[in-house]
Amino acid sequence: MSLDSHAVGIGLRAPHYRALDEQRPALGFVEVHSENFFADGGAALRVLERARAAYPVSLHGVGLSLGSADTLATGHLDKLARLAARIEPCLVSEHLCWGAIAGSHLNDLLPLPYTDEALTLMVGRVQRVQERLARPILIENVSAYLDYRASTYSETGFLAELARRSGCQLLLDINNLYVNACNFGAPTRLSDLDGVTIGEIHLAGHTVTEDCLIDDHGSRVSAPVWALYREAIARFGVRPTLIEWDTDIPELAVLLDEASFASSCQAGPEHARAA
Amino acid sequence: MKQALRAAARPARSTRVQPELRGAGSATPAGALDAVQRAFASALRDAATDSATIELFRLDGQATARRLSIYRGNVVAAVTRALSASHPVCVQLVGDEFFAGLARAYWKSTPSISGDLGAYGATLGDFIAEFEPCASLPYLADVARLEWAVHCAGSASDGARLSLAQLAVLDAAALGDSQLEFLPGTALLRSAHPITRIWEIHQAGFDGAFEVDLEVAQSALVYRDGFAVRVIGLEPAAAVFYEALLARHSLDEALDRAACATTAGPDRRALLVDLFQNGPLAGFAVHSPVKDIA
Repeated sequence: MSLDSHAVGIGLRAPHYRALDEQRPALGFVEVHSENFFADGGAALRVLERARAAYPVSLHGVGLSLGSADTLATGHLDKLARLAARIEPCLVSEHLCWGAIAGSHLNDLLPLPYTDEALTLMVGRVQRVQERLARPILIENVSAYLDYRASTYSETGFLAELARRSGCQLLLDINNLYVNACNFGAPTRLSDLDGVTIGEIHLAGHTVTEDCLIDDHGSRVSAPVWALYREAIARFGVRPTLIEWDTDIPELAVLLDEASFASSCQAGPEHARAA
Repeated sequence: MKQALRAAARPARSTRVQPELRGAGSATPAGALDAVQRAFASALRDAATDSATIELFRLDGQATARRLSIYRGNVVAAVTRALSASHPVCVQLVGDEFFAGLARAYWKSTPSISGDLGAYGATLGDFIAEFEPCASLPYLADVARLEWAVHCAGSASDGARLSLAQLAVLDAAALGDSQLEFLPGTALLRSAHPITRIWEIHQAGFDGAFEVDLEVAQSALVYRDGFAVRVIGLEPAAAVFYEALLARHSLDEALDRAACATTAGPDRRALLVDLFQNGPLAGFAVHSPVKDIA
């Protein structure tokens, strides 16, 4: 199934399972972390199936470690394929990152050096996942606190090449772009990207520290991120947009309010409230 | 150092930037990614980071060290969150701070091997049993093992309970010879400590007396009833009985083993009534001819 470009959704996390089920707010879609539903059965899967009966569901993976120099975790991919067959998601996404090496997992979204070696690896991995799932996937840019001397592409340049060579779409996380621009003192280069490759946009909050910006998904989307979101809409057109909130999760109404603000940004500058 | 990004040529989506030919990453040989990731991973495991690893990154050494510590904190926090979610009673028993230290020590000894953190923690109980700072809580290891069994039962396949009508096709001999099948995720834990009681009084909504007799040995039968996980305390004979059944011994063999478990001899009838009324049975396999019910 495809998602309307104006769809706005929220990341569905355990503290909101019940409220969402009871209130069934108007949302374009909900997104979950795929791994949270890798169980063979049980309550969590039932929650997701109930959500799926009410909304399109996007599966957002955090553990496939596509950019790892280790071999691809085919057992993990099998579980994702099983979940996708069960849920029939509107979108399936993963990250431009690595998280495991030498057989052990760090369970984090760690940045890759943007080199030809990493690009070749990622293109092959994305293609394998797309073949296994028999559908295109979306790849998301991650936030980072370190970047590599060895990089020969900019982040956006790497993403553009990955999309072009693998046929994947991009999940553009506007907050991550902003965080990285601040953390590395480099401008965000939306101009590297081709709008037709962008299938979804993520928005989230970050924390400003003395040293850098921490991408903790623990607050409202900041004003400069909303501004960059509007810039992305102006450049690429309206895209399905998701509000993520993962730490200090507030009541559902706060997420719905953020989602409603994203909708007003989609409607155009004349409809947008002040951030 | 940031000039390279800014100075990149920008005619019609040129995406190249100039690499910085310096430090460990400069040669970019085939397979460099593997070396980079090994160095990064080892910097996250140990606070001490060698200069070659620092040199992988654009920032200066001090800034790189600070940023590595952000990643280090995130990695340990994720593991701690996952273990806390699967071991909530252990967290209550030792407190958040101690549990965070325990989680860090466990992670150092036993790294995660899956991109699904829900799969991490199967051996936390074994680790606790050998972890000196936990020595004053001798029951903690078995509570952790019990919580892992609860975690596994909660995510096991949805199974359908056996109806007694299905068993009615068997005559007594065939029934005694049969192997019973339990619902997915069913497990039995035997302990020298009152693990069932400890688990019970730490559940949300428990409103009984907050008392435990730490001298009592308890065994726990763990299974899923619909979407709720049950933890049932078993008498010693019943524990032997269920343990034998779960090991796929025949019903008669399990009854015989239970009989040997107590000097008084178990109440065979009570064991059978409880098994068929309450036991988490999913099916059976017979080795004798099935009675013709036509």
